[in-house]
Amino acid sequence: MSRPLLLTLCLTHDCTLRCRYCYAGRKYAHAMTQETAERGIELGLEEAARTVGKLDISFFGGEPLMEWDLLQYCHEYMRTRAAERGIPVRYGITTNGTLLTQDRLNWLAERDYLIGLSLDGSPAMHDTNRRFADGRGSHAAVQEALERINRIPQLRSKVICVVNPANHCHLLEGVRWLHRHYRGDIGLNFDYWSEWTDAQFDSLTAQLVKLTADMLASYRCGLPMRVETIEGKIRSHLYEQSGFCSYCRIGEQEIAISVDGALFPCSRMVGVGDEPEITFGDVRSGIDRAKQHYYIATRGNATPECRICTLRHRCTNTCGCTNYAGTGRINQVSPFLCNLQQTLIRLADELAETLFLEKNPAFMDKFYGNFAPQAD
Amino acid sequence: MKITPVTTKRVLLLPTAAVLTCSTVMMSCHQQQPQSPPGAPPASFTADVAAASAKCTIPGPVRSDDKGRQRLAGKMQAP
Repeated sequence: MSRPLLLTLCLTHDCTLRCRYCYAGRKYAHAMTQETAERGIELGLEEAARTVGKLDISFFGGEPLMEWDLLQYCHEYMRTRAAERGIPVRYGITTNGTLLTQDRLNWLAERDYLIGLSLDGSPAMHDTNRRFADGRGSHAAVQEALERINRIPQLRSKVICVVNPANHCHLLEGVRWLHRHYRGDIGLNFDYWSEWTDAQFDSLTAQLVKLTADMLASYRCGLPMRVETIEGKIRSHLYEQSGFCSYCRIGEQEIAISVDGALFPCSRMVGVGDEPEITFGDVRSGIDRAKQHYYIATRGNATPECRICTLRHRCTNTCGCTNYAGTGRINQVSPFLCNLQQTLIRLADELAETLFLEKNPAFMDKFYGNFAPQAD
Repeated sequence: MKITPVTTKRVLLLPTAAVLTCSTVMMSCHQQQPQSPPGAPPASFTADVAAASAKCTIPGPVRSDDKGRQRLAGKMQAP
């Protein structure tokens, strides 16, 4: 079944934080106009109607909650226009949590938003990079948002934990902290924009080895750590032959719109929104089909070494924005990605084999569902 | 760091969902056969999976030349 078209609106360049690894560019008070937002929504609906017939809209920034009135306006505009065209829409937002008040959270929950909360684990890990403009760490403020999220059980949410060369040494304690304070999925977003030295990579590997040992212990005590990054690698083996493994469809299934209305093929490529070589149109002139076809023709993985790799179907080597971050080309893999993916797959396999041979009930239920055999 | 492909396919002790589906279907068929003594303890799960893995092939897309070969082998009626 085809996935919905993902439309991302970057509502503002401004942000309450000044994260050291932010790839979204300089922060300044510059918001999307209502007119640009309306045109972007119309373009997204038109493209969804032309292709898959359904749409996910996500609000992004900067910090999108700095434009709360605009967000509410966009929601209502999208809801009305999508209903008129008979297109089902799901809503989402990525936020740093510092402006996520109880009233706002209730409003988002009532409309079934998926909340992506950027929270890098423990205070030490998080505050390494995620700071206010005056230099203060933001962990305490974001923890309050997490506690509000926890109080609404039906709310769809996930935590996004960025791992970069500066904070990776805290990875184990960071995920432990999240496991203690949150019951949803934890996504590890590795920073592909940064340079990782060999020593830093070895140190990251050591953290990941300890983390999977912790995951093993957590399954054995019946309360699994929900580290989506590792679990995804287990699923990439289980469903390898059924086309489950994700294949990036850059240029086709996602449109990200910058504050000024430029169209980008992925939200992680927007930056400050002024890189004409990677845009493919704008909300006024529409999609540049020639550029879109270029993305479709070029995407994938053209790295020669990968053609003979037995892990290529379980690796994120086709992710256009990840490749772009690492090498400047959407179809060229970076050495960091190669080494990281091999490490993640190896550790996930060792974890899964151990739990399968033990017939661990939580593992069997989670990964095999109805096919899970009963324990002896 | 450099890009180093993994050229040796490691066989995991972890069955894929497809193999497990085949295994479940085979166990179901096996249980319906009259020669299975009622109440007999089931074979170990690992043995079932191994048996299923040996017998089960995951069908790929049917190509026109496959149809041709099947016709030649008399397994498919010509239209």
